[in-house]
Amino acid sequence: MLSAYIVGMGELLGTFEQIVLLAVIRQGDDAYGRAILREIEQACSGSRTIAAGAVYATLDRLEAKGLLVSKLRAGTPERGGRKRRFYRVTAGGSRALAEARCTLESLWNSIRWPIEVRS
Amino acid sequence: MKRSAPPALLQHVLLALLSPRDQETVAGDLLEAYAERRGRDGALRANAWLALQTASFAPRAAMTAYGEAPGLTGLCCFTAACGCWLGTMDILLHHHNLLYHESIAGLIVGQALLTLVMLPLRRSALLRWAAALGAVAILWLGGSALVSMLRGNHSWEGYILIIAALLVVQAALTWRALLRRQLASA
Repeated sequence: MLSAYIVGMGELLGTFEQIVLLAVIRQGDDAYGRAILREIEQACSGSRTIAAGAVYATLDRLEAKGLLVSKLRAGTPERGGRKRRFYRVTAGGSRALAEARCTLESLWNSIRWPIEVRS
Repeated sequence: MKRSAPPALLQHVLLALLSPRDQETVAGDLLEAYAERRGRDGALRANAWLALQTASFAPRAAMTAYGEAPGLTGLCCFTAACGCWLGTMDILLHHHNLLYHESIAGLIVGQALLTLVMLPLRRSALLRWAAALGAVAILWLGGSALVSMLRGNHSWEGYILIIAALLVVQAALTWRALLRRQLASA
């Protein structure tokens, strides 16, 4: 019982992982690194510089978990002909996002807003 | 080189930090974003942005590289600390021939730090060559200290024996890491 709970906690998506997965979904067929980075920057109020290293590390981790798949496509002249890696959310990724949302919503729904803070 | 291209040094460091799988795609993404920012914000701000983004790849590159060579990483940290200690003690104890002793301590610390920087910067040939030459230097340093002590030319001092032996092992591990990297890239 306890081990199942711990495994479940390990599989729950982190906040940044959810943001990256949602950015991939929002970008649709154009979900490559640059577009995902821009989407996240705009989502995070537009003024913050998002560390590209963190985004690519998360993309790699999600791909290793089987929540994303990627495919290489030809590059364009403005990027020196370098190839683009396009990402797509898998069924497992979609399920993990839904579970994370469900968990958060059930917790949020049980909280009265605004939160009372006792000093 | 195009006028809108980022500084060569930044590009070099970025490519050196990226894994072979990401070198083409990630560098292309950032180049694309850089061109957009340079047109919008100017060269200075775009360069600062690219420098920050390049630095953001350093922790992962370091963790991967140090994870692949934990023995060499640990050894470099230890010999760097030993070098600092030797240098400090030479100053505090007012040893004669201070410049010579400080140079030796500097070589030990310098080679350890150089190796720790070289490991995550995968593609930097300059750092690889410098680390290879440095490994020869510490091999000579450690080897000659060991031989001199075993022949009885110097008084028997355990800490010198240990540091000398570790420098020989560090040189061997550095060469091994460089060879493995060379074979992997080939």
